[in-house]
Amino acid sequence: MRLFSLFLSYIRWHYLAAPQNIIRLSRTFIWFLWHFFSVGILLRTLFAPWLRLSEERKRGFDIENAASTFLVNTVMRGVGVGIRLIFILIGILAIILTCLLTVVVFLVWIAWPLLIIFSLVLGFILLGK
Amino acid sequence: MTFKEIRRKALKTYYPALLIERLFSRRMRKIIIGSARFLTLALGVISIGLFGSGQGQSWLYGLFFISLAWWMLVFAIQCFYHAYYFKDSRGDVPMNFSLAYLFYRSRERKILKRFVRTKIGKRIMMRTGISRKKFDYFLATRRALLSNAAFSIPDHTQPITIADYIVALLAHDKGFEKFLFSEGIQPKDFIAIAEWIVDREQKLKNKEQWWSRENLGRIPGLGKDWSYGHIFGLEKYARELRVESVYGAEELKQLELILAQAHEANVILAGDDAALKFNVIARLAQSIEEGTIVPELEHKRIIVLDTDLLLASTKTKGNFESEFISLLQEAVHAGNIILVFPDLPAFMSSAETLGANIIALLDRYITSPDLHIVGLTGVEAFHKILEPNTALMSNCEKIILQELHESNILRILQNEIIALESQFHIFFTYPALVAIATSAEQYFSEGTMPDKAIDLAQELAPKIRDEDKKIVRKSDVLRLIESKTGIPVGHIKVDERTKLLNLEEILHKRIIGQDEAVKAIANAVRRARSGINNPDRPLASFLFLGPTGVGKTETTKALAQIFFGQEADILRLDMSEYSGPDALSKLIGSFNDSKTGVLSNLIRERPYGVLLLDEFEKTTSEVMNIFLQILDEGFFSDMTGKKINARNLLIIATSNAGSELIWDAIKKGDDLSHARELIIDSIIKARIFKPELLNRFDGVIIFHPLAREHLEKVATLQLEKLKNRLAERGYDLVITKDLTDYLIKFGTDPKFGARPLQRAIQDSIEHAIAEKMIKGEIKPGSEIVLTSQDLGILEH
Repeated sequence: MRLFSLFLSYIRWHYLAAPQNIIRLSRTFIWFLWHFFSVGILLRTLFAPWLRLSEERKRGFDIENAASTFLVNTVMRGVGVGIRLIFILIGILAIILTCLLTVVVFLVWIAWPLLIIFSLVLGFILLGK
Repeated sequence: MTFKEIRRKALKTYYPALLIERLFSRRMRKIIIGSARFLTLALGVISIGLFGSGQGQSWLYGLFFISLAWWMLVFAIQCFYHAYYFKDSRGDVPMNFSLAYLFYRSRERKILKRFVRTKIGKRIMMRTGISRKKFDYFLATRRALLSNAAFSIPDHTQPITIADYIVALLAHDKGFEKFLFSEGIQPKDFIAIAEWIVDREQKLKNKEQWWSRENLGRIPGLGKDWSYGHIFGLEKYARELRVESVYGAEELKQLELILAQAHEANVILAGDDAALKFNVIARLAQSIEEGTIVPELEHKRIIVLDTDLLLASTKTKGNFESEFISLLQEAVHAGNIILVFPDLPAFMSSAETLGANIIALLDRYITSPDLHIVGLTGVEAFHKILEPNTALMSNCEKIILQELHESNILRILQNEIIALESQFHIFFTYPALVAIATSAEQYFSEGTMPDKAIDLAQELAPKIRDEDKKIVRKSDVLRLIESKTGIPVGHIKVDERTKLLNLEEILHKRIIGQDEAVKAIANAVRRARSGINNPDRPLASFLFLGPTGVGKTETTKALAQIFFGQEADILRLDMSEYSGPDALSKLIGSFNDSKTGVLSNLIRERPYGVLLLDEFEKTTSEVMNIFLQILDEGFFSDMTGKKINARNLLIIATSNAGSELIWDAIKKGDDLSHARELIIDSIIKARIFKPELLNRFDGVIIFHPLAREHLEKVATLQLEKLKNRLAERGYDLVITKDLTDYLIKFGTDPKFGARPLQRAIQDSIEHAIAEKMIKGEIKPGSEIVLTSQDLGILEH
């Protein structure tokens, strides 16, 4: 009797609570990946100079000076954009993979009890051959 | 809520997990899952291998699929279990899982019996240090209890904690409470033990859940500091930080919270112990480094500004201001700096002497989201200088350092002890932990808590292991204290008990007469030994009043010997040497010439023993005031402001103030106990000692002059000492009536008491014996009899 009630509450949990848990878990992983690859920060600072290195423009107008400052600052920003983009892409890729995986896990989970029965029956059939 | 209602709640929240937990123990589940996984994997690999080579057997595939089904089932059940088991980590539950399990396993009328059979109950009972045998005997022999009604918890309690459970359990079962008490475990200890065990379970459980947001969030992210600048200028003034103590977990949490805010993320950290304040900052730096910090702060950098260096290297207002502003600009530009001022009020006032206003200079930067400022300050300076400054405080939040209470210390110690236990394969009982915490505070003045306590535990652990013991008990801690300090603190054994009960007799073997003094001292020793004296004062303190040569110093020596087991432990100061204007600085040191003081050094080197202050009346009133504090609070501060602990000293001050009155009283034939008030009054009137000083002593004891019969005894005692000395060399001195009479006649002086005796022995008796030895009149092994003639010759 006790085991039967346990079985009933299991089924309830398997189809009602557990799917929610899977989604919650998947959200946590996505949140983690977003932070681990610093996607937000890197996007916000995408064009910021690398390690805030920059050359300050000197007072007065001097075409040579202005050009060199512009060049240095552009290189610093260019390096920053390159490295940041790589990390952002890896992060986004990981998040997309997690989303796909969630869908797969979700479907497998729904079918899980049937899969158990199927596997068991198949096992006995094969054993009896 | 009645027991039934609570149990129902527990079941409603956790039922599936509770049932699974009961049916299959944790270990069993682990084995089942492990073996299912292994079997499936192994069969899978073999099947695929054989299938590939075309030699597959269908029965093998069958076994694989059956095993797979089995593993999937077990896995699903485990997930089911976890879903309920980890419910309490998300909060919003009426109680946590381990407590729910206690209720689940208990039955009314059998609550205690069931409690001690659960894993948690067993662990709690183990920590009490009560032996299994004793406890089983108690359970087997006690009469039935009970009032079920007593096991109830107030309705509004939400969530129910283990403490609520224990309080109800003890209320419900008075017999058990009494039993615990008889084993030295008070209800508050029992609750603390239970909380410790349950907290620990919960912590392990939270760690187990690696997929939780909290645990994943602690993994440091990549590339967070790519967008922050370098700080070449600030690095010049950066001071080193080192974590020295485990103190400050609570403050660290507060600090993290404030600094993680988007606005006004600046902190004033107020506390009187500079080391502790730095420690909190150092721990923050460590958490950032280890990546165990909240994500908002994980890319921050802490710079402790060496303000003294900054002031010294700039010198003028203009230089200082421009340098300071450029540093602040650099910090803002870098964008990830937490700038720490080691003593903000002091920095403000030093800058003021240059004419610079720190708060005004900070004003533009303190509101910047790119810079956090942390100002350290003493509590008094905080209230006086910083708190009234609205410009500053409107942008800062304050954290006042918590004082260390015993319960906090114990909590920290509990965490530390777990590591020691697994390292040395030993087990600390809770009473041992309490003993470690209280003894570390009471007996060791160097260092800060709780580190002193942890050091003590670390010292004890290998000792216990080397003794091939597994359990550390309170008595082991006390034994270590005793061997380290010489202060007897452990359990009183039979021969010590006899000694303590017959202290007066033992003391009288050395001290002739002076019944009042002997009694007072014996009582003080017994009080100190039993541990009921106030721990915040010296072990005992006395003022001995009386003429010279009546046994004041001898009494002190006897006291040292009885309490500490040897005479060498007397720290003796002749206070007549401290009567000049520099007396105080000679004793406690002076800040100006940074000399350390005699008293500070003496006590620091030997914090345990007898401190004898001879001729106490001759010192200055300043020095007496310091002793006012020492006698009252058991410590004083030396020239650097460092506390020196005098709580493990027996303090004896001697003085011959009032001797004239004592003489007069004796001459008139008055009883000294009646004349006592008169004598003390006259001392106060003569302004020799202030009444409050006299009151601070545990006892003011008046030594009476020695009468003839006392002197005779003293003479005999002294002669016996000489006899023992001679016996070691093989001579036997016969103590005759002639000899004692001679000594009393020529060796005593009413004014100087028994003091001249020693000289008389030296000058005449030892002299006579030496002469006889040299002349060859006595040989080793022979008796020495000194006739009046021998001594008579010397009279002239």
